[in-house]
Amino acid sequence: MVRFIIRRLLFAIPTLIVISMVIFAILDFAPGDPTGNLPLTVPQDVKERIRESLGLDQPTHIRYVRWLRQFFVVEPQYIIEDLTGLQLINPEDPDAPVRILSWQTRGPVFDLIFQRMPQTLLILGLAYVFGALLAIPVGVYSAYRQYSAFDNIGTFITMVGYSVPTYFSGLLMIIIFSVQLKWFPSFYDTTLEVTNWETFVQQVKQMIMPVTVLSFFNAAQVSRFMRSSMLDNLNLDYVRTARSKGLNERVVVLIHVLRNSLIPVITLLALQIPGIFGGAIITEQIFKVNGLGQLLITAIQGSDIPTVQTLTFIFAILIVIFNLVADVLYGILDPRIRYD
Amino acid sequence: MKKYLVLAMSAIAAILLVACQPQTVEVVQEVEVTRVVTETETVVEEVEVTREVVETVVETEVVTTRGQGGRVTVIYWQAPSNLNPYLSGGTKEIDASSVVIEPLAGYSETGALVPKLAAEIPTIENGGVGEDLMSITWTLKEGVVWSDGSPFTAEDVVFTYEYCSDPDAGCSSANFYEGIASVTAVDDLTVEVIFEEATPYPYTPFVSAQAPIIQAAQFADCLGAAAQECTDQNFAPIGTGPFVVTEFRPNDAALFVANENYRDPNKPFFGEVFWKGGGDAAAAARAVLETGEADYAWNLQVEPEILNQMVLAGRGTLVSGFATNVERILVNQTNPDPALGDDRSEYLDGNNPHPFLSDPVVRQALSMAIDRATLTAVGYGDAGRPTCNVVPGPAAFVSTANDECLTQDIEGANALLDEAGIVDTDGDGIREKDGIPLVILYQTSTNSVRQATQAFIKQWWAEIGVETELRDIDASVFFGGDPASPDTYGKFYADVEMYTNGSSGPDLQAYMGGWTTDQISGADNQWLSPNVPRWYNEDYDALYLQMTQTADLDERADLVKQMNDLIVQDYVIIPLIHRGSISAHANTLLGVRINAWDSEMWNIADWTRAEN
Repeated sequence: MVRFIIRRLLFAIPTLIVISMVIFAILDFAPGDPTGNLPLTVPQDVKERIRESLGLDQPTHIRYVRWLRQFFVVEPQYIIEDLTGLQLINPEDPDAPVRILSWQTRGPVFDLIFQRMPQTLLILGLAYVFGALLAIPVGVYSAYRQYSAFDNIGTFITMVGYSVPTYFSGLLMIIIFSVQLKWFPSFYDTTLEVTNWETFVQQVKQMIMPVTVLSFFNAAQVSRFMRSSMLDNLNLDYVRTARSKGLNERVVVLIHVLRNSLIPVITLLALQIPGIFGGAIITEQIFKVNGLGQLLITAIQGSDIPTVQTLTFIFAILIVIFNLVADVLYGILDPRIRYD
Repeated sequence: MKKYLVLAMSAIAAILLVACQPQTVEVVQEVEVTRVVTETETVVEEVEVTREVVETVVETEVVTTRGQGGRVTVIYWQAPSNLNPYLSGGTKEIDASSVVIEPLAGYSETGALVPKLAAEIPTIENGGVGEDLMSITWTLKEGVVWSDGSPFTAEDVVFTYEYCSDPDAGCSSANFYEGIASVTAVDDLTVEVIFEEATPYPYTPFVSAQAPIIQAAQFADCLGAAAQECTDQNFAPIGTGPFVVTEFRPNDAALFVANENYRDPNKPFFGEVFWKGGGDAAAAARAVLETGEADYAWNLQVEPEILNQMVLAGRGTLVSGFATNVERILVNQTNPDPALGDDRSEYLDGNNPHPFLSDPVVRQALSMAIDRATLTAVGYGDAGRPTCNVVPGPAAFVSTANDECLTQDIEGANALLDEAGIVDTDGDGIREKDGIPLVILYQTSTNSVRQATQAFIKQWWAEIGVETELRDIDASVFFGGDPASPDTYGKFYADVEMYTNGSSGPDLQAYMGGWTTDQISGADNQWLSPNVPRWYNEDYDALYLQMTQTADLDERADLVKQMNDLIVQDYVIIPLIHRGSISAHANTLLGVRINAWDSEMWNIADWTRAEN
């Protein structure tokens, strides 16, 4: 197993390098200009100087190598400095390496990402956990009582949850709970610090709508998967054997069938984790959460290439890692699968 | 298993219960929700009347205590990326930074100069502006200190000039500091600016929120290329303004608190400004007009119908301010035929005329066929007014000679074309001029209002026998200056194109200079020059030359009117809509005077809140 993991990790390196080249090339060829959103009253020669100050006049391959160096050499040094308090880079040194700077904010991209992470992880993470907690029992029971009223209603609700887009359900919730009932704020305040009971209540209030919308959406997906996986297993011979041995239903369903049915569901859940970091672009936009999804979309709209490049590459790394995690989990859960 | 389900359910229920603590829903709200649309006018009137009453009350007892007003929430749905307007140039950054850093002088809502850090506005009369128009001397207010307590001096002003005029800094207001020979600190409170040539309008450097003074001590290491890397300074500049940055989250939110060292001891009324971004214009409007979460929302480009519906909730008021922005159609005077290769849309000293748009009769007919009032009502509402001028303000500069274009005249346009012999000869419904059918490629940026405008105009032009092909291009490409892209507005590879432009301030010289012959956009200037229609007019060039040598304001206004009339009566630019900025504020927020000439936050120190 260890050899398998090492082999896979080594193989991931060329994959990621190719991915980074493709991302860089696509972004470089894409039309768009970071000064395109400035008012027309800013003269064109001034815009030209702004582009030069951003380094846009340099050839693509030089910018690519520079970015690689910043991503793999410079940024880790800053992260280590932050974590350990060691000083690796002398700030007085005029030749000190420059961090990856966003074109929109002129601030380091990694600072932006770390600033956006808490709200995205909190909202999407909770939605992910709640979604799974809700989906697994619903899926199991729907399969066990297939075609019962519970199953039919569950199927209907999950279909609605799956097919109604979040920009609709989100807006509906805002109209009902913010505009009409005035229970929850429609703007998410990222500057809020939870220090006492009152601010905690405020924090919960502003999280309820986005978390509900997203967990409903997640739950709909996972519960369908859980249900069909259970159905596949319920009719198999080993279940009949277990029942004929006189085991009670609870043990048959929850120990024998559920454990086997969870294998594909866990793979699905593992592969969904990078999505938590990716943020929910639409939902974040609707509830003004301003997390990683909003960071990505505003960077795209502003042609802020360093930010888009760095973010998408981090997503690529996460996807590669969690694919590996899913494969490893598969091996642990299912003894029949051996990688060595 | 049931146990787990029950457990999970009860946990969720508990959270919901905590969150939904009973809140009193105001009864007024319910009444207002049921109001009928026909009552709009009376409702609005009521609101305005009450507002005026309260305002007069406040004016009589002006004394407020600094910070007593608590928090004011401002929504800029496009949140600021940093707080240094010299490195962004976008309205969102200019406005957000203007609560912290200030210029020597700014503009009021009427476009008049008002002193900020300067003691008074220098003029020729008070000796501040040299008789030869070669210099301006600013005297600074006495006793002003930065928010860190250090004194504000003339050296800071000189430093600001050095910072922005450095070619490596990529300063987006660099044009504010062009044509300057030197800026010197005569003494701690006097700054002298010497121009390279006679400058009839000397109030450009250090004036308006686009050219504020930054602290020399804070930005000392940020000159030239280093400007880009000064993140701490760019995110939290030290200023002299009413507020101080306490937290800045780029493209998300910002917190400001009242500046303890602000020069007026009783201001600002509010102790804290919460600046929030995200979502879209409709969400921002909703937060002020319907949910009451915010006090001020900026740039509400929302369908007029939806906005008016929101106002009915009775919580807030819409305000709009107008400067010089005009949505216009530019008519290409050169031939954009792709067959010409590199010569397409090139001026070539007048040897590449458009096959039919070089005929003024065709251009006039295109203008006459347009119903500007309908376009305004459908797309802009309170944020637009029909116009026939490329200079729609300031009021003293506006020509009244062209107002007949406000009435659509399709019959007249048809008659005009018939008379000129431009008729449909082959019976396909499209007129021909010298055998060339009047088929027009009409391009603009991607934006739902612009596409609606295109659709209307296409139909009206069809009624005068002109066929139109529509095209829309992503804004960042269309307005971007990439010389390799065929789709920029400057390259103009189309017959007509539409966008908004205006003067960067109440002084129109730079704006008017954009249509002279030497400013014709083309390959030699990387398609960056502002004469995009590639228009040539000797009289215009002469008038502009005269303007650059005239200092008297009335004479300048007269010249601007003449130049405006030359352009629009030649129909190379077809003005459509005078565009304003539209914002909303809560009815409890007093003192808002929306300003299209400067930052909308220009008088935030004077804002107060009505007592309930």
